[in-house]
Amino acid sequence: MTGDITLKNVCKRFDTKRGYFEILKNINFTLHAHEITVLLGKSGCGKTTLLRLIGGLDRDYSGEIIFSNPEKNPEKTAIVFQEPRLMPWLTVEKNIAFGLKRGEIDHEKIRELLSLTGLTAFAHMKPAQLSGGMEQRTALARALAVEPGFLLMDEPFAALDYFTRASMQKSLLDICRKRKRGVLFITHSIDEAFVLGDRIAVLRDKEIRKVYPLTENLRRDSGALENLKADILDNI
Amino acid sequence: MKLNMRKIHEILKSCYIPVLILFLWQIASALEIWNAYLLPPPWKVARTFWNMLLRGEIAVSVAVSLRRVLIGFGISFALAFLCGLVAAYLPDFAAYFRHVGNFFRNVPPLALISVFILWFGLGEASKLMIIILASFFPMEMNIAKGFASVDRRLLEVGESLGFSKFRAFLLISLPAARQDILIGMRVGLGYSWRALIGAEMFAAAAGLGYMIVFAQQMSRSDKVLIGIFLIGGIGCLSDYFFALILDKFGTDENGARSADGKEIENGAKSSRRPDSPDKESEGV
Repeated sequence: MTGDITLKNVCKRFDTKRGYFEILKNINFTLHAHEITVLLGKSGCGKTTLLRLIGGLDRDYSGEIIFSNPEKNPEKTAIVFQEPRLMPWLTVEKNIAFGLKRGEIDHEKIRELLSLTGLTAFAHMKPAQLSGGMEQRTALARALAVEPGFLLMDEPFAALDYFTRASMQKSLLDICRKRKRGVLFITHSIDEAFVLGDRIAVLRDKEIRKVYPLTENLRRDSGALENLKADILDNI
Repeated sequence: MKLNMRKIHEILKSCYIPVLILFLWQIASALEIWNAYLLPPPWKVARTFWNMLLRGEIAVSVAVSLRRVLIGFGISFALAFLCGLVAAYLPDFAAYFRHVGNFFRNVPPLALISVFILWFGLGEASKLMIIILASFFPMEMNIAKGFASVDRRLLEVGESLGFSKFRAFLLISLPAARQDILIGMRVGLGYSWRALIGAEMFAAAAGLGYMIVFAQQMSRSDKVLIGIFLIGGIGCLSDYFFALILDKFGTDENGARSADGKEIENGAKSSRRPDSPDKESEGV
């Protein structure tokens, strides 16, 4: 169902009073379907900007962003932001169905998403009555409800406590396995990248500096993981 | 039992002062501190009210005034909504109207009544114009503020989900701005009501304002007081009605129910959320 997303010579610059500021330069990179790609980088290196370009929130860039399966998924991505950004006047259930048109709402699917994200008991609550983790899970379910080809996640667990974050990471992995979604996950935590990623891409100095595949064998080898961590720290 | 007494006290709290005033009024009348012509005793006012009610005088006056307010307020709201949208979404265009708007906002509508009578005659149009002028600005300003201050991050959610501009307006901007819209309507309705009574005192042959002026000319201070009580009472009722609407639709936390349909504690007031981190840890 889903296809790859290929970025070709993507450049982005912001106009300022003193000229312009280039944040991304010649980004050439492919996001594979059914794979969690973690984009790692320091604060302000352009991770969120890149996600916004892919998600269509910013169309002012040069280069190409190609969706390889446009017939079935015409640029269909969904974003999970750093903050949940739920509609405060809607219940959890209605927030999840928020992206669907009236005729598209499949109550069975909404129930399934509620169950998948562990929110069934809270379906009729408003966001103000939820914990941070529950709000973020609602945001994740809202993104999944529109059946996106790709999930774009911008440090979605950054503001959560350790336990909630671990729970959310587990939920995300379960969801990705069950639903076979491609994910671009932005973080600046190397540990989180190791837990979630099938590949880790490091963004530095406006470009993708290095891409590290994370195989199961590598995950089992603690020595190799330590070496990888050291290498990432050198490159970040 | 103790709780019930406290509840009753809470409900009656706002009634103590009016009852005290009524009591003092009755004592002042009984002691003839003031002439009964200047301040008729409460029982006389109540008797006159009852007679007027039976004769249908009150119903007619109230109906005439309410009809004027509803028509004027309706027109005013439609105009204010459109202008509020323009002010919020087309600020460059709205800037052309800034001085004209400021000018009319600072002119009390009643100051224009003579001009309106000259232009529109003594009919309904002049009174409607007064109502529109009185209620337009508070509504327009609140509506513009409501739409202009919609959280940009919520609009980005709509954008990321592929919403059209119209859908984003309908599903995000309108609900997000509803509290300011309702507050504007509440203030606007109060202004409409006050301006109408003023206009009816100057140029009308029916309505509550006319009823007061006519009673004054006939030296019927009891009827003047009845007119004042009716105006205040209806104003309070309409305000209460809007407060209920605001409470029901203007806040984000109300009306929540748990999955089994039971009312749950308001989240904003709750000191503990239903799923605090210690419960989240079960997934780790």
